[in-house]
Amino acid sequence: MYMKNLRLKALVPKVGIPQAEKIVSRLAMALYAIIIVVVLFNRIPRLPHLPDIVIPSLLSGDDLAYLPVGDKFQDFKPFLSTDGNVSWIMDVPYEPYLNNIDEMYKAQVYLAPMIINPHPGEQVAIVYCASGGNATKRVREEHYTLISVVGNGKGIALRNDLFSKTI
Amino acid sequence: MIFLVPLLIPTLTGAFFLSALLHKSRLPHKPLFLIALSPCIGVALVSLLVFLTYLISPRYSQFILRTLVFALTGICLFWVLLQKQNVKTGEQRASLLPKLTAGLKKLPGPFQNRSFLLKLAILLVAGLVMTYALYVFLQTFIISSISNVHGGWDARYFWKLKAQFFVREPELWQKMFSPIIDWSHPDYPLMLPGSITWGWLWAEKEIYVWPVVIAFLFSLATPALVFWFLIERVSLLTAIMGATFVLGMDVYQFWAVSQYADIPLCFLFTAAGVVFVQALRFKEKSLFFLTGLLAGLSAWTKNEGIVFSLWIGLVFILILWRDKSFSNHPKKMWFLGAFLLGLAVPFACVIYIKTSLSASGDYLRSGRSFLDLVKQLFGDWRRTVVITASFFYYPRLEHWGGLWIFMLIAFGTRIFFRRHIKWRAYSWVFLALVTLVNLGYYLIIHITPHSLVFQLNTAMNRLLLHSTVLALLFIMETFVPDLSRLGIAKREPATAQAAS
Repeated sequence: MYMKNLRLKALVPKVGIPQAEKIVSRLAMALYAIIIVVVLFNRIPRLPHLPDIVIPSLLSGDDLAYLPVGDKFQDFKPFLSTDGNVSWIMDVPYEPYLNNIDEMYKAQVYLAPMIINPHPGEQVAIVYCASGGNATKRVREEHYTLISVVGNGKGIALRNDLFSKTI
Repeated sequence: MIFLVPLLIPTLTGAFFLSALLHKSRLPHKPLFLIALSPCIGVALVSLLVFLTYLISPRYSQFILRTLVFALTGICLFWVLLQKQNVKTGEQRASLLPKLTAGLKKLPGPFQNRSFLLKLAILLVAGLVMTYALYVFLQTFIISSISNVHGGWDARYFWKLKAQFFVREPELWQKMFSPIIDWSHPDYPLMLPGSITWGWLWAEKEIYVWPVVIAFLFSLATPALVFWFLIERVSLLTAIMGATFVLGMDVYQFWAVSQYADIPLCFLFTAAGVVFVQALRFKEKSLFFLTGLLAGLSAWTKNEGIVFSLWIGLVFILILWRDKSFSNHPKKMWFLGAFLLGLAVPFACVIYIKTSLSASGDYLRSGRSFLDLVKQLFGDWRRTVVITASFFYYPRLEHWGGLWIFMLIAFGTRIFFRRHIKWRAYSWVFLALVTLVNLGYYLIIHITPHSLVFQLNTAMNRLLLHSTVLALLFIMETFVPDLSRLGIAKREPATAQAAS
């Protein structure tokens, strides 16, 4: 019976205008209270210890305190032309959600406007494998020849048909 | 500070553009509106000019771009000076101070009939809370930006990458649309890359601070816009609390430092929404034009803006058709024309990218036919269940400060007290936009080309963020109704009769 009354009351509100205003005002007060709680419980992140150079270099545009994204690919740059496309060869064939695919994205950022094709087929390829053995195996599988070694498992490869012409 | 000049120029462009556009407008608190909007709209307009410049001549882009920006700024300034006499009417010069003090009288509910000193004390406390929220926000923003100056994933691999194509070899800029790098979404609009390009071209190097500055501008402009809107529409206290809530929200802080396009999109949705409501109220062509422009710029920022532009256009057409004050208005077609004119340029640029420059996309030219998309939309009920559940899971309390729960309560309040309280004109527009925007997202997630779980995990909070501030405005307008409109007749009948 009690529940029935409650339901009826909810469906047919018999409150006057002052009561309605009062209820709405109470809701506003609740909202304001929550806003204050939200703000007071905000946590300020702790500033890591930074060298003195960081902020001035950022504001002046020198950016000496930071490395560019994909900085590790600077050794590849002298071998590549900016207006071409290169393929990307890594430990396993390309798939969109691979774990270490970020390295290819970083290379793209560093080497743009050169385009990095995640699939083999371009004349030149960047080889980026975890070890020299993997690099040799993958380069052979994709029909390329390693022509320059930049690091352990890293280097530049030429497509076999072009390599044989060059020879 | 290397970023000051590239920041100052678009700010002036935005300020003069808005001043020229709104010189006859009755929009309240124009100086505050200009402070909130000018830098961001300036940056967005400059990004459009960057794109148009590269279309004209990438080789001479720097010279043409500067000429175009200075020309636009100069023309707007000339127009402002020409109209100066009209602007300085007594009504327009009404100072902000009386309005601020009037805020004391409009404190809601339990504070309504309290003494002046108590009201002042409440405002002071609210002001302190807002100052603290601003302090926390600035600290968080600065510390996080210094620690991670390159920003999040999208910032590094979508937005800045596109800017690098613009800047490094201007004549090869169209390589950003190559389908080979489809993971970088070649068909995405270019507001953020264009804005970044402007600063980098000016500095003649890819300075890391500039994208941070852009993120900062949009992050602060949104609470400023909330403050501007609520101070006149509702009350000073509500304006302070509204801006405080935006600054204090966990989700807002998190995405503000990411340098993603979601905070700019949230700003543009909010700006288009509030200007639209003011346009409906004042019935001015210039405000409808600005609504269209802001909606268009949202489409120029992210694909979600295209959906928003369509929704706001639909709401506008329904109002023109059904609303009594518009259906017989002699200028209603002019209003629609002004809206479409504002929308035209940014929207055309987006369409051009999607249809001519980019050969691949998530939806258009994705290799899926219309029938495939329809099948994906209605074909798998398990996807629908997961997506529906995520719309209940993600708006949970801890990230949003209870905003979405308050949104539901506000909606219930509107229905419950629909006969008791007369709500402010067109405040339902906010509810309509929030509902339609999220309904659009609900449908679009069904046809995502990505893994559904991946899509929901990475995008859901950001999607909700886009309409968050519109939801907050709806809540504030509902919880603090304009009692003075009823009060004249209800509370002071004797005075009202005497006055008549």
